[in-house]
Amino acid sequence: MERAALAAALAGAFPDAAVDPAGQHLEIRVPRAAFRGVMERLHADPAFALDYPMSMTAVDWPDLKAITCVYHLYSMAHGHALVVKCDADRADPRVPTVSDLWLGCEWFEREVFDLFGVAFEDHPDLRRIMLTDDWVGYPLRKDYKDSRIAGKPY
Amino acid sequence: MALSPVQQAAGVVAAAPGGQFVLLNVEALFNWSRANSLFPLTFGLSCCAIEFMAAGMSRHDMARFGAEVARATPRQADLMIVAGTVTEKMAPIVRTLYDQMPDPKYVISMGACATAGGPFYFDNYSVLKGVDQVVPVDVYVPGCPPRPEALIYGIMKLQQKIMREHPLLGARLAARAAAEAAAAAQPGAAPKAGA
Repeated sequence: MERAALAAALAGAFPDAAVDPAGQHLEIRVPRAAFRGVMERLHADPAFALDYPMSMTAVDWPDLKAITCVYHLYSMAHGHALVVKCDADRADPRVPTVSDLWLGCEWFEREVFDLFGVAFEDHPDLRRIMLTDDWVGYPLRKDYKDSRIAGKPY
Repeated sequence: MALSPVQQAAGVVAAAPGGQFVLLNVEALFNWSRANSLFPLTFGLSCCAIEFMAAGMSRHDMARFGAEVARATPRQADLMIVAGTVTEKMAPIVRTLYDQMPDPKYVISMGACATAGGPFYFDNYSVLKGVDQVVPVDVYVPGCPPRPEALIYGIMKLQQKIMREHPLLGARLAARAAAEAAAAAQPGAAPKAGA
């Protein structure tokens, strides 16, 4: 689907999601309550057919008291890409898993859990994936402190 | 403590006329054979491994220095070239590989990451600041990554270091200590002979 047409279709399908066409990829910001339903529709609806999760990460916003989960999705059938963003509460970040829709997201979500501490609800195997099992803390949070980290001398 | 066969032999030879001269030449033979047949462990952690591979290929040809037989198991290797970034999670595995290598064994720290953490030194939670925190390092090769010439120069430096070793020194000292202890244990023994 063309970018403008995709933006219009998204705005029509998800009235409570904010569509942002300014970035490199088309982007929708979804409230946490509607997140799971939006992802199911994006995966199953043949008009969107977003069958390939290119990437998934998160962003820590200490000032906004939020951790934003960012999903890059791609459609092999249509050749369009979409970024889905969903805010979680920084004090107790919980987001529904999408690893049952896109199997590749299982390890992405483990990585985000490992580095940001986002608990993905109903994830089948939510363990640390990169760091050691006994690691304390979530290193990509902006307030992470660790005796191993050498600060810059300048 | 019972002496090993090598220690007994070193003691017998050292006590014989001209034995020290013979032992020094035997040690030189040991050193020569060890220095010129280093078997590196096939072991790369990041981009330095590419230069390590290039050093083994025909253009640079590490075989000229006897170090081309990269073994796929630490049991057959006597040189560990730590080629790349050692993370906190990798460190215990590196140590295990080192422990599995038979003596005598040597370590070359290749590149800035293995030597001191390199570009990952500051503001980093996951990279070990130097592989010398987990294994003893013989030669540090600087560079990011070092060129194959630099690695080969590191191997030549290690060869020079090996040629200065005294592999039988421990056996000779143990044999002498055992002989002195036996002499002291005998009643009415003569005063201890000079070294």
